[in-house]
Amino acid sequence: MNRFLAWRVPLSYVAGLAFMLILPQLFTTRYAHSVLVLAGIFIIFALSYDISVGHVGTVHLAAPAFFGLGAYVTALIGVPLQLNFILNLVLSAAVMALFALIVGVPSFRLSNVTFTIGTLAFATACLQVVNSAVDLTRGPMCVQRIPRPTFMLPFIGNFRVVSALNYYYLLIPLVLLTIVVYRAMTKSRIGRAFAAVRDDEVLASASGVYPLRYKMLAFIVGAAIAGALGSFQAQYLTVICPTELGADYTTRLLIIIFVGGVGSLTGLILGAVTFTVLPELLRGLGNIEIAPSYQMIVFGLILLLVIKYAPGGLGELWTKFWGLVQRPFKRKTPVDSAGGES
Amino acid sequence: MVILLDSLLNGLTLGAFYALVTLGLTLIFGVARLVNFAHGDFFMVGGYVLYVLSAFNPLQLPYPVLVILTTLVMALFGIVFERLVVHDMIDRSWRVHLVATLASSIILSNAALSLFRSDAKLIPTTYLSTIVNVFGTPTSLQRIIVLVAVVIVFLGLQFFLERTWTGKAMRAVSQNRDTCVVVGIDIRRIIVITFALSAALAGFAAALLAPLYSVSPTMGLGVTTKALVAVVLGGLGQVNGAFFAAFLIGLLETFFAAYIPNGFAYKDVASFGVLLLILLLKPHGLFGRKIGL
Repeated sequence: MNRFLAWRVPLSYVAGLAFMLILPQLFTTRYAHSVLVLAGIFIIFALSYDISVGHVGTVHLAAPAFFGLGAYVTALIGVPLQLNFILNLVLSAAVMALFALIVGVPSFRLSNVTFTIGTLAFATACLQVVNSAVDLTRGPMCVQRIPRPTFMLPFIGNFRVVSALNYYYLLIPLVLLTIVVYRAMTKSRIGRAFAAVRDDEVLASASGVYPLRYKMLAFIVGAAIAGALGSFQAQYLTVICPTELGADYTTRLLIIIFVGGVGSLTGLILGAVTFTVLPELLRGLGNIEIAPSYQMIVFGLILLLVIKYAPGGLGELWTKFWGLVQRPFKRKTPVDSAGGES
Repeated sequence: MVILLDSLLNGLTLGAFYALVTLGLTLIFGVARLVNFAHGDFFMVGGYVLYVLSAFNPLQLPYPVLVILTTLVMALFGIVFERLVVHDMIDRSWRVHLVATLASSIILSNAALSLFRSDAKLIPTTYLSTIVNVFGTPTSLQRIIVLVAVVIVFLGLQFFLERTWTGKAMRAVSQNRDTCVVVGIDIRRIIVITFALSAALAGFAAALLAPLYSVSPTMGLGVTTKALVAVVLGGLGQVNGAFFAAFLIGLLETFFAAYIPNGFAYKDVASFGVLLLILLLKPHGLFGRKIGL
């Protein structure tokens, strides 16, 4: 391991953080800021989803259910209890983790694709409950007037988060935290166990890795992050509707993950940014109003073509590009040239 | 008593709907080892084919002819779908199948949305407005036709799978592909035929049931989910099991809606709840054996 490679990760982290902090100064309109917040939301969402899909290999379709229910937990429990911003996130995360455990126990009795079907059924049922339980959730009339987060700051006093820019800076630590959790889970002993379960369950259990435990862990952590994100969404939009549990999110997540690159941090971030910014750019440029359904047709086509012909997605392209960039800095070590352990 | 009989008839019709869609889905799963998440959209497309045929009907063709035409158009659609989406990824993993068919579902439903807009389309037929009495309960003739048709289709499919060469070849492909190659069964061709048959079943279902339930662009995924629940409940790859599970779900939903206060709003929750409950007790479905996928 040479010195350059050892420093690569923290260096790219610092550069990325600086870039994120500077971005809203480059694009100063409120609209641009709201697009940035959306991109941040989808980065977190995609990472939480990819822990299950990309690393353990269990494709579930319940992510929007956890997201939307997390939002409703804040709107219906957190607000009456007058919890602050962070406690709301924690509450939604905890409730969704518990929920994932309860759903996971019967669902994980199903194998691979039937598990996917079970989670799809669960998500559909959640949407119907939220839509129908008008007494509790007000159904399609939406829960309104969710208070915006307020912080006690030294010297300033009470600071109320209002503008999209405020929310963007509030979101940055959450994005970083998610990245840290994502890396901690995937680049560690747990991550290697995940990969073992994904590649061959029987072999994994033969080597002492209990597949269900790791599948469940990824599912629960993903659900907790999605729930906390839903809580953020509730406090950002201040209005929560049943559409927050809708299948549209599933579509976008699948596109981000599979076009971005399954299991690749850089790919997911690239994918999340591309597929939130690109539609907005197309909307703004030359007054071309792209109807949402046309946009979804194009997205669907891209997803179909990528999964069929370029399964690695953007992440693979990035890895190749990065390999070319760092080749001049890479000194050949004896291990490299020997091509294996010796 | 009237409510009971009425619910029974409605439940059986709903079950027939799920059963026809489920049959096509199980066939594809059994033969091609692929779960088609766009199958509900096949039904939706079939509904719109019937809608277009009956809206622009220069020859004034009667409804039964339109049903046959819809079925044939959908068989062709199945072949095109196989060629465009499935053909060159059939040997890839189930994750690729899942994402590719979900993407197809997104494309189909949004194409329908931009062509026909989001409002539900009603397709009136003469049978729909003809009322007959069944044991003193007035009901639409269309329902009776659906129930008769689903029994005929089920028996016909049994005959096809048990007695004809193509049907036997389909069962052979679902059991052991390597041996099929040895005895000279063209697997690719069988898979194309399965897709044609499956889409034709969805088209036939749509032609019979779209007049009863109306069609809308976004109905596909909901139909897929229901059919998949029936497939899982019946035991993966079990044609008969899935067929009866579909009727079970149809009856369950209808009785839940009729007898539980405010049950109509929660009927899907009921069927999914039963699915989760049964899976806790019998993880391989009601009629299933343990198989590897």
